[in-house]
Amino acid sequence: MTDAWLEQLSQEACLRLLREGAVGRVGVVVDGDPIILPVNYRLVEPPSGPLLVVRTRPGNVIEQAATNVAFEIDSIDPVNHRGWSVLVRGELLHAYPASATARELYEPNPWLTDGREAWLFIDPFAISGRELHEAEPYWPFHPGDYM
Amino acid sequence: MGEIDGRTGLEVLDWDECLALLSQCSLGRLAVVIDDQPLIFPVNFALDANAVVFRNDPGTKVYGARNRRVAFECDGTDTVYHTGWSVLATGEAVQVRDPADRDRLGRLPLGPWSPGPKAIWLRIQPKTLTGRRIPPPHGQQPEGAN
Repeated sequence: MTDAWLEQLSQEACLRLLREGAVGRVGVVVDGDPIILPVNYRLVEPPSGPLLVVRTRPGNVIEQAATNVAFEIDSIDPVNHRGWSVLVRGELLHAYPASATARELYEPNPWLTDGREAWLFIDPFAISGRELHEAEPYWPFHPGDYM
Repeated sequence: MGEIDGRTGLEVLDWDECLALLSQCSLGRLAVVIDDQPLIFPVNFALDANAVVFRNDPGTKVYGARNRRVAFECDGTDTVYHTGWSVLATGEAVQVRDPADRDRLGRLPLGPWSPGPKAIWLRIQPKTLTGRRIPPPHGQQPEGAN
């Protein structure tokens, strides 16, 4: 029998998972306390390095948060206890893409678009991920014994 | 259906509804702050009355959470219909040290999913419990509404 085990994911594996996702969670600090909010996002990869793009309402809680933020995505199967999670730590940048081309390129496609005119970029300084592998059952008899 | 917040376009969920959604989940996300840096970890949890309970081994999560104010989030999103909900609890994470409490909590469905004995039990009694839901598109009734 093998117990459940955790595997550290490579940067490339983390980026691949971030590339495929559309919904994540932003963790911000407001008045010293953490808050978590689900957001639509998009990973963009200009030559200067990967960025996460989020569109939100001007003046909302993320916009008012401290610079250092966390961003998380996961997919975990609560029945079989297997899955993965990726954690990004980064800095929050406020920037409005000046050209329509840039906006199209970076568009995070929020599910709610009304008033989501504030563009935010998370500039990662650390990306890490883990995969949880489920325990493998122990077979009391070797299948070969029956052959 | 709850009230729609005019600024966000989101339905505001009340305390009871938030608690009902939490009780249907077994996985949530914990946010802690260490040296001004927020961190988010997925954790499996159970509800004890209206408190969130989870187990851990010593490490970053316990360091960041124990006797500090944390956030705990659960959500359900539908990437096909672009809808979803989320619930956020905030409060202090307190270690459960009383043996009688531990015995009682030991009967919750809270077996460790990942390796390790997970002997440190933490409990968040929510100070705030808030939730939001993306309402169905205008004119479309949610399933079972009529």
